[in-house]
Formats: sequence, structure tokens, C-alpha cells
Amino acid sequence: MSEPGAQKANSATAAVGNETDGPALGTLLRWLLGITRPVHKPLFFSAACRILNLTLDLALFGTAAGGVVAIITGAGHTATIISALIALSLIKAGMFYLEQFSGHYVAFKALELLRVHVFSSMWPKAPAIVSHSRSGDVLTSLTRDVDRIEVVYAHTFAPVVSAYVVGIGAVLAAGLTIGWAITGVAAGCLAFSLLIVPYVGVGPSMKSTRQMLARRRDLAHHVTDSVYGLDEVLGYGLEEQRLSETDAQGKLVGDSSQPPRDWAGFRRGANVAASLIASFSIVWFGRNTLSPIAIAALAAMALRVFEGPRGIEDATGYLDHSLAAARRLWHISHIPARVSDGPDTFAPDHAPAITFTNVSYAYPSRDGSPNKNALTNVSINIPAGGHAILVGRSGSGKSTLVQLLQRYDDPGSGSITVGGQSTNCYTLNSLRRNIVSVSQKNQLLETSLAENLRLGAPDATDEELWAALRLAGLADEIEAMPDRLATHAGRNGSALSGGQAQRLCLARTLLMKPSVLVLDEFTANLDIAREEQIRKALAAWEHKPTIIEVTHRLRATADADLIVVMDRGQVIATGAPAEITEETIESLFQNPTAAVGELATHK
Amino acid sequence: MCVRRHPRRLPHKSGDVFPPARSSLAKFYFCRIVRDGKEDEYAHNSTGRTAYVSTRSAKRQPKARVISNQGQRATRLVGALRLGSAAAMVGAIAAIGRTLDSGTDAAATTALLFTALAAILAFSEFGVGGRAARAEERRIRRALLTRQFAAGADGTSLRNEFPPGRVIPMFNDGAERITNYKQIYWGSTLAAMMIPLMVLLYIGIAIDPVVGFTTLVLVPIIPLAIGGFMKLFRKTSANSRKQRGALASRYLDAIRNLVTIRLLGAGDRIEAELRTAGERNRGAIMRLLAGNQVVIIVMDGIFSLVLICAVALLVVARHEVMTTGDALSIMLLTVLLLEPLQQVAGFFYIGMGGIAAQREIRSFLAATDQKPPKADAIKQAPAPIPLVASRPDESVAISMDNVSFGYDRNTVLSNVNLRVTRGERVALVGPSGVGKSTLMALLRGTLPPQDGQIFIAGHDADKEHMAETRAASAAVGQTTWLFTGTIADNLRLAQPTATDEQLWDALRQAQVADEIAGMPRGLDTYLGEGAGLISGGQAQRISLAQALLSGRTVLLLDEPTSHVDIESESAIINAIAALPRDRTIVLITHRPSLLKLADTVYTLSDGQLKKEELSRV
Repeated sequence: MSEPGAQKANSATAAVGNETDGPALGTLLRWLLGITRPVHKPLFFSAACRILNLTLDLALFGTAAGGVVAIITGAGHTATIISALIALSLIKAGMFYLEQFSGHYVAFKALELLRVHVFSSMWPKAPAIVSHSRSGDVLTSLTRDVDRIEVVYAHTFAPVVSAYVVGIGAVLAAGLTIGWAITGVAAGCLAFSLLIVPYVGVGPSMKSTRQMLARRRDLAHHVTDSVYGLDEVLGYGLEEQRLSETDAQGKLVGDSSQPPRDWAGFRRGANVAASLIASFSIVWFGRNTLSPIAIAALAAMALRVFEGPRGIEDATGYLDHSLAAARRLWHISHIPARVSDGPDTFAPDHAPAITFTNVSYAYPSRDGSPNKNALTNVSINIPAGGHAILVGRSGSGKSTLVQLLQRYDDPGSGSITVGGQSTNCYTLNSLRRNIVSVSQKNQLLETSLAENLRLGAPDATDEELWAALRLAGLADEIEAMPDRLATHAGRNGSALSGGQAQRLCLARTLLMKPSVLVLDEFTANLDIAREEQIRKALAAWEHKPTIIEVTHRLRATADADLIVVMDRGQVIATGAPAEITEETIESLFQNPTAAVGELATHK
Repeated sequence: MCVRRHPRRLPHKSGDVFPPARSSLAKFYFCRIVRDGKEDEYAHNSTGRTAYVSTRSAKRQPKARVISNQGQRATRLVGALRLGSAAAMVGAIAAIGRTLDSGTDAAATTALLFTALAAILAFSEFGVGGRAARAEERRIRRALLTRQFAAGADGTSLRNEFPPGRVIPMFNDGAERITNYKQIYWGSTLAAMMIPLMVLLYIGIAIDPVVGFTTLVLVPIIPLAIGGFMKLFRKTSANSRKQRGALASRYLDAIRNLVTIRLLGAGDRIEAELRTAGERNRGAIMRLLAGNQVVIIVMDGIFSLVLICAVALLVVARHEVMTTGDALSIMLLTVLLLEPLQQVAGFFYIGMGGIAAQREIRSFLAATDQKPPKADAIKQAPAPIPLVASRPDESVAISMDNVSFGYDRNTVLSNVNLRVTRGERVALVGPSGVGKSTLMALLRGTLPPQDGQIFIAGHDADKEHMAETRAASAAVGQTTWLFTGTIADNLRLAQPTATDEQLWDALRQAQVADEIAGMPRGLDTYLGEGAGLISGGQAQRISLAQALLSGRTVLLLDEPTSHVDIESESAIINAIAALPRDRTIVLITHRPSLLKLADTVYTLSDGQLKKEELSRV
């Protein structure tokens, strides 16, 4: 099994390549800062508190060491020095509190800002943004990525800024007052810790981290396969093979997580050494010229000032992960919208006619290479108020066709008109407000049934909700629930049965009184009796939309005007229900080329 | 509760559920039987011989052990390195003090040597911790996956309590988090807690006992204060976490339903709702924190005041017995007293995640511990069985004699007898829930037989040889999971050495070759992420090709067309119909078109098989 390994390495590099292709660091930061502008003031405040905290900390240790030596040598009063220590401790504690509190404020606020920003930049690009290209990855990493960036705001900015401000301030103050002969080496050590240590190995670490993340993704896929593919694993006796592959991939993850770890270790070691050498150098160079009091105070401060670089160390630990996360978010937020608003508002006063003329379409591919056509030269005329059934096996393009009608994307060639005008003349909202679909997928929010129903019609009255529920054949069951419309739908509609969830989605659609109703396998979870009841109710509904039904099995065709058989992205037959039945379709598939000419009489 | 364990360690430890290294896979299981509040421990090997090991009180059920011995050694090593680095710092600081007193080169050299040592040990701590964490992560993942496989092979249904959505994050993130916590963070934290102790002992012994040991009395304040800090903060954070959790799940829900929200024109509204809910929630959390974080002032104040001021006062009081250099050393050493504080921040990022992962892994280990893991569950793939049945009567492919099976008190199969001759095609019908799938699982070797005897392709399918049972047949289920990789990779799961020509051959037999040949990359078509390029019907036919490729002569098909489109269904039916007659087929189905293929049809009802008379036109 070395081949899949090679395959995975390729896919890993592809993923890495994708992330490195992102914006330059400057662009990325400007983008992030633009989003988080409202937290900048509290962020500066937090940094200022930390600067004071660190400064007071230096003063505290300097006073303690120098003061003790002063008292011993008879140059200081115990009471004065102890009260100074107490005062410094208390003020420092206060500063620490303010720093922490404002830090939390920044963290929570930044989290909110990022979440809302990402959501607001994503929803207008739906459905295209989720229906293709690594959707699963995007959505699962999204929240974690946002959390990682929050960490930058909460735990990176203030420590880094304060380390430089306090460090440089301390060096200048000591050098200018005491003289560089004594403080020069210590200053050099601090400069080393502030200017060199944080940046050594950052490039290789980040490269390695990106590789590690890609390898973790591959590992996660492998584990997912082992769990979901348990039957195959057991059936073909692949247990040991899977386990050793998992181990091998885990080893790769370990290999690429080690360099950043070693660089972090280098930083720790370097700062430990620098702090001790700085403290030592003060004593060594000052021992003949400087008073013991000053030496003690300076040596203690020299040791303690390296708290700053230590804070940078921690921050660097998060930084490569955080930047990778920021890059991914940037990508998600900058995926171009595939469709845009047209100038007109679509407000038909009656059910419109729909035409597809020579529509061809290929889904965008991940790497930009040409994809196979999902639709080729599809032409269909659906009369105003008509009921058309698109039938075909899965993958025949029937769902793609109705998605193009709702402008998930625009066709590569050909045109789609509704009510005589091209769909891209209309604003997306007005178009989708009037062309509404119910699919077999369960699409309920984790909130009450009423709120789910009102998603598309926020101003609907309870009376209207019940009317829609009656149409969808769900009113009785909801009446019987203790909380009725206030019943919580649960995650992914888990509080309802599959059939109930499906009828709730139908009711939600009917509530919008669309002029075009798209029913995409809407009976998947319903028994035949229930399906008939709903069909009857729909036929008797006073609102008469144009209906497009998508199905893979012809069951109830009595209400239909037109049946369109699709296969591999093409219309292979159109006809009235009398002309096309399950049997004719079966014979079509047995001998497709012969059948097209014979049956495609109805134009 | 049964546990496999290395026999060498047999009398000493209990509660070790970590599977030993692969080479030492012992054939011993440990079984604890709780009776009258006592817990008896038995060891038994795979031949069923049982030995009594020990009795002890069952009151204190040991928690399932997650971390291996190597992992624990690594934790200790990381702690030792951290402590060693701090000790070297103490040495350097003491030498700095002597430098002030004497100014000799010797003191200076000592200071610099200790400095170098401190740096090297600090560096090593990081490297060792990282390596150990990833190694332990691999061990844990292997152990968990082994449990998952064993449970699957046992027929233990984990799906209710531990569905894939729960175990997959545990096997990935969970294993990462717990090892970051245990191998990187925990050893270092323990060491950090001991550093003040070590520093003060040094002061007490090497410089001045009064300063050292008096302050030592104050040292318990450090863990107490940190403990108190975390406890107080935990209450607040538990509260605010709950609120944040609610908000996060609302956000996730909105992301999950992005398409619906967009199509129904609710984007603006949901965005505004998220914004206000977020704002409201944040306000509440900040009010909560404003009060609770006062504890920070207290903690920080205590450290500065108590430790630094106390040390300073003590040094002043004892200055007559020490040099200025000693005083300086002690004051510099106070910096090291604050080391435990460095660990607090890590607790929230690494500690909490690690503890949660540990809890999750423990509950998984406990749940999969109900039955002894089957020895064969993690064995090498069994050698392919010979195509010719080795049973005396070579014409019989499958025989079931007086097979009974039940779950708890429900009998599903009672004294079922079945004889399928080689090349026969048998269909199994009956209402859902009647036990068709149970019968199939017994034939497949994914449920251990309880009573009666089953032979498949000449192989005795008893519960000691379930891996061999599984190797006797190939199955196609209602749905097929395609693995990440190419179509060829997926096919070679069943036959690693197959040539491309053999793959095409199997695909042609499964009636899917033309469609795959039509794909731009053919056999090398990459199936990632839900295999969007492949339809469900194609996946079923690839699974059938897999089964054919495996060379196994018995094919078990469980409603293979229940989730596919019309065209795929007819392709699958054609494929099955065209199979060479040396393949024996057992098929569960409802579809009349599939039933037509069967030579014999059995109905399963009330735990009994009944042969149907076939009226063929």
C-alpha cells in the first residue's frame, strides 16, 4: 500500500500550496485589523496595563534586592522599604487585574466580531460556497480557526508590545544612568532575546506546521475511513494494515511537529541563558565601580526583565497556528461570489412560464481544470402554471438543473428564463423568494418549529402557519405536541421524525406562497398514503404555482403536464404522462440510442 | 470487565487496560466478576482455561488507564528536565552571589557553566516532551482503533453510545489533546510546583536555615493559592462557558444551514440575531468576570507580598550571618519562586482540553471493556482460504445446523437449518426486523455464534475463528463506504496484489467498467471527501467488484440495490445474473427483479427458515 501514501502526500502538498498561495502577511493583517477595529482601543488599554504591570514588577524586584542590601549596609530604613514593597505589590496587582479584564473583553469581543464577519461574508455566497470544493473541511475548521485567532488578540498583542516597550525602556534607562560599560552586556542579552530569538526558526517552523496540519488532515481522513469503513476493514481482514497505516501517518505528523517544538525549546534555552548572563554581567562589570545596592537592584531587574521575552515565546507558540487559521479564514471570506444581483425585482402576479434553452453547465473544479459537463444542451419549456416532472437516475443532472433555476450558479452557455425574462435580470433575493424548493435533505434550524416555519416568511401570522401545516399534512401532529408551535426542532430536526421534518420543510415553503414550487424528491421519507394526501391538498390549493418535481422514480403522474427524462446531463425524452411511464423509461435505459428518436416527439 | 494483559505482570497490577506492544500480544484476558461487593479477578486464555487471580473490594473501580508506561515515563522525564533546568539556574544564581563577594574567575566560570546547563536542559524538555507526546498519541490512537475494530468484530454495537461522529474526533483531536496535556504540560507543571520547594531547601541548607525553612512553611500557599485560583475561576468559567457554548452552537447551526438561510432570504435577519445574541451574551460574561476576577488581585498580591516581602524581611533579620552576595543570591532566587504561576495560563489552553479528552477516552475504554477483545480482532489478515472447500462434502458451500441466536431474552433464530450447495443462489426474504441481518452477520463472521454449527466454504465458523470466518466470504451491504484514495486503491483493499487487468476484469463483471473508463482518470480517479464523483449505484458496483476480486467463492449480498437508482439497479442485477456459477450467493432482498435470480427462496419468520416454492414462468 505505498501508492496511496504517495497519493496522500500529493494531496497534502496541494493543500499546503493552497494555503501558502494566500495573501501576503501585510494584507492578511490589514484585513484582520479591519474586522477587529472596535477592539483596538481596549487592546491598547490592555497593553498599557501590561506595560505598567511589567514596569512595576521590575521596580518591585529591584527595590526588594537593592533595598535588602541597603538595609544590610545601613543605607536604608526597613520601614520605608517594606512599605514601598507593599505599595508596589498592590498597585501591580491592580494593574494585573485591569490587564486581565480588558484582555478578556478584547478576546470575547474579537470572537464575536470574527464570527459575525465570517458568517456575513459567507451567507451571500451560499449555496455555491458550500455545495462544492472541500465544504466539509471548511465548515469544520471554521470555528476552530476563529478561536485560534481570538487567542492572538487575547494573548499575543499585549505580551509582545509590552516586552518591547519595557525591555527597550529598561535598557535605555539603565544604560543612560549607569553607563554602557556596566550595562552593555546585559543590554546585548536583552536585545538578543527581543530581536533575534523570537525570529530564529520562525520560517522553518511555520513551514513545518503547515505540513503538519496537512498531514493531520490526511490522518483524520484515514481514521474516518477506518471507522465508517469498518465492514470492509473486518470483511477483508485489513485491521493490522489499517493500524500500521495509521501509525505511519501518525509518525509523519510527529516528524513535522518536531521542528517547531525544537525551535520553541531553543527559544526557551536561549532566554534562560540570556537572563542569567545579563544578571551575571551586571555583577561582574559593576563589582569594582558600582555600589552593592545598585548592583543588587540592577541584577534582580536584569533577571526579571526577561519575563517580557518569555511572553513573546508563548505568543510565538500560538502564532504559526493562528496565522494558518487566519489564512484559511481569509480564503473563505474572499471566495468570489459566483452569481450577482440583476437590476430588476422579480414580482410575478401569476405563476410564470419557465424555459431552459440549450443550457450547458460544468461544476467548477478544485484546481481549475475543466470538469465534465453536468448538463449538456438542455432545453425544456414549462408552461405558466404547469406541472413538470424531471425524472432520471442520481447524477443525471436533474437537481443541478433546478439549482441553476434558483441561480446557485449561472450556466456555462444557454439561457434560463422565468416569466419571459432571463433569471439573471432579477435580484437574487426576489428570484429566490418566488422560486422555492423543498428537498429531501433535512434543513431545520436548532430552534422552535414556529421560527423554522417563519424563516422564509418572517411576518406570517400563527393562523397562516397552521394553514400551511394543514396543507403539508402536519397540523394534527403538531397540535398533539405539548408545546405545539413552540416545540424545539432539536439539532438537525432531531426532535421530529424524518417524515415530519420533511413535511415541516414543505410547510415552510408553502407559507412563502412561491410562484414556482420546486419539489426535489420531497416524498423520500413519506409513505404512499401520506404522499397522496399531500398531493391532493396541493392540487386543491387556491394558490397555483408552476411546479417542477424532481424524482428518480415515476410514481404519481396524474397531476403532471409534462415529463422530462434525463440521463447523464441530457434530456433523452419529453412527453405527456400518457406517453412516458416507468416501463418506457426502463426500456429507454436498456436501449437508449434507439429510444430517443422515437419518444422525443413532444417538443 | 475483562482486560487483556501481559502474563509477566500477572500477579502485580490490575486495571491496566492498555494493550501491550504488538509483539507481546498475550492470549490472556482478565475478567473481573463483581459479586457481593467483592470483585473477583480471573485470567483466562483463548482456549477457555480460567484461573482465579485475586479478590478485592469492588467499591473502588479503577479508572481505565489511558496513558501507557512509556508515556508515564516520558511525563516524569519532562518533569525531571524542567526541575533540572531550575536546579542549574539555582547553581548559576548562587555563583552570581559569590561573584559579588569574591569576584574570582572560578565563581564566574561556575556561573557560566550552570547557565549553559540550564539552557540545555530547558531546550531538551521541549524536544523530549514533543516527541513523547506524538509517540504516545500514536499508541493511544492504535489502542482506541483496536478497540473499535474488536467491538465491530464482536458484533458489539457501539453505534448508539459511540457513533462515528463521537469516536472520530476522539481518535484524532482527543488523542492529540490528552498527550499534549500529559506528555508536554503535566510533567512540566508538577516540576514547576516543586521548584519553590527545591529553591527554599537549597537556601535552607546552603545559605541560611532560618530564611530557607521559614519561607518553606509559606510555600504550601503556592499550590493552595493556585488551586484556589483555578477553583474560583472554574466556577465562573463553567458558567460563562455554558453561555458561550450556547452561542457557539447557535453559530454552528447557522453555518450548517447556510444554504437554507440564503435561499429563504433570511441571511440578514440571522446575522442580526447572531450579532445581538452575541452582544447580550458578552455583556453577561463581562459582568460575571468583573466580580470574579478580583481574585486575581488577591492572588498576585499574595505572591508579591507574602513571598517577596517575607523573604526580604527574613534576609534583613539574618544579615549578620550572611554576606552581601548571599543576600543577593536569595533575592535573585525569589524570581524562581514564581515559576508555578507560569503554568496557570497553560491550564486553560492545554489542561482543560486534555482533561475533557481523557474523560471521553476513559468512557470509551470502559464501554468497550464489557467483553474481552477477541484475540483475532487485531491479527494479521488471515491467509486467503483455498478456493476448493476442504470439507468432506465439497458440494456444500454453506451449512447451518441447529443454529440459534438471541439478544438478551429475545430469540431471533431458533434451530435454523440451512444447506446451500456450491454455486447455488439463495434469496432470503421476510419482514424487516425478523433477523435476516442477524443470520447474515453470523455467516459473515461479524456476530459470534451462540448455539449450533455453521460451516462456510468448508470452514468451521465457530467463535474462536471469526477472522477466518470473515475471510471465507465477501459481502456487499446496503451502502458502501469508499476509502480515501483512488478507485484502484479501493479495489486493492480486497486483493493487494491484483494487476490493473484483473481490476478491469472485476469491474467489467460488476458492470461498472464502462463508466469508470469514461472518467478522465479512469482507475486513478481520486475518491476523497464523500466521493462526490461517484454515485451510490456506482459505489455499490465497485463494492461488488471488490468482492469478486477477493476470490472468495461465497458472496453475501444484503439488499445491495436498496439505495441505488434504476439504471444502477438493473446493472447490478445483470452483473449478478452473469456471475460464473462457481460463486455461491446468499442474498437478502425485497425486489422482485432480484428474486428472479434466485434458485431457492427462503422466508424467515418466527426464527425459522421456510423454503418457498418457486413458480417460474
